[in-house]
Amino acid sequence: MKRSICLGTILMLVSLTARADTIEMKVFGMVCGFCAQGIEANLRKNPAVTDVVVSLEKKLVIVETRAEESIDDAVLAKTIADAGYSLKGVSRTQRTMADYRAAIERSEK
Amino acid sequence: MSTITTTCGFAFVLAATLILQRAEARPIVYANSTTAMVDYTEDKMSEAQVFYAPKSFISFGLGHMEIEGGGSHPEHEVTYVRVNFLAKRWNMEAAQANVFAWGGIDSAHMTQIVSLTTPSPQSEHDHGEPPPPSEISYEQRIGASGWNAGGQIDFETRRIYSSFKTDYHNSSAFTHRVDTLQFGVAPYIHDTDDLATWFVVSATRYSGNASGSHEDDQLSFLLRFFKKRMWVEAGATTDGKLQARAMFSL
Repeated sequence: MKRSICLGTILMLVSLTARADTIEMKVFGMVCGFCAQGIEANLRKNPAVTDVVVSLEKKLVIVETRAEESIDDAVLAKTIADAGYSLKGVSRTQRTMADYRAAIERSEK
Repeated sequence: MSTITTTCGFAFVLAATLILQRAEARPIVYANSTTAMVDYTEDKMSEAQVFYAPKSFISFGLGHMEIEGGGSHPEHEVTYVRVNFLAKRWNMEAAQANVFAWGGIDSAHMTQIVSLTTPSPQSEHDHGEPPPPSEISYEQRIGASGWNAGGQIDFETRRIYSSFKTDYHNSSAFTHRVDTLQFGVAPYIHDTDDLATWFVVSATRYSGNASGSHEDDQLSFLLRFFKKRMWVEAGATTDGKLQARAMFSL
């Protein structure tokens, strides 16, 4: 019993540490679909990025990175600036992209 | 003439470059984007442009414009190469404003109808009334090199859009200027993957000596749609002429 609890805890920890990092960025200047296209295209050039979601309503750009890979704030700021927009804040969370997509969909309704 | 040849040669190289770059292309105003635009106003002008943006603040490319003239100068054409600069952008929380400037070189052509009045040949044995002189008309194509310059300021939120644009072409064959003021309202707020819809009012002034009349004002009402990388608008001027534009980014 003890062994299985131990094993379960280890597996849970491994899955947590191996979980993809999600980066939430507040971006100013996004007013149309073209803005989102350009930002997404620029971010996807980074090999650490696996998924990107843009919400014009919330002024958010959400990036999912590969497990155990991250992107420096300076790199993120440069990527957003190169696309022609202004990065106003970065936070790192454990929320999944599905959570974000659901939240964005709810806010649109 | 050699300037025109040089311009055409440069245009060809640029066109080839654009075609080769297309596989790597991204939307407009971002690094590595290619954008194609067409603009049509019935009985007035049509224009096609292709631009490649290596950075978000600069693009360069080709354009071709045909202007309906009047009287003895029915057709005017300009093929040009141009560099566009994003001079300034303001990124606000829920709005964006921009100042663009552009300039380049033109290869202009004008078709001129030339009428010649020649006396009719008179026969040696014809001692009657002289025959009336005959008139011959033919088309003459005149080419000239020139330059172009212009700019645009705009302000946009997800609900309203306004812009002023001026575009000037100058050559020894003719000059042509188009000033356009636009105001748009979105009936609903769109997000990234939605179809965006806009009602647009556009006021345009055509001037220069390429048109039959030197100044011509037009007011038009347009319906604009865009989604992802495609943008189209169509409508009519107050005198019932079709006006349409489309833009596609890769």
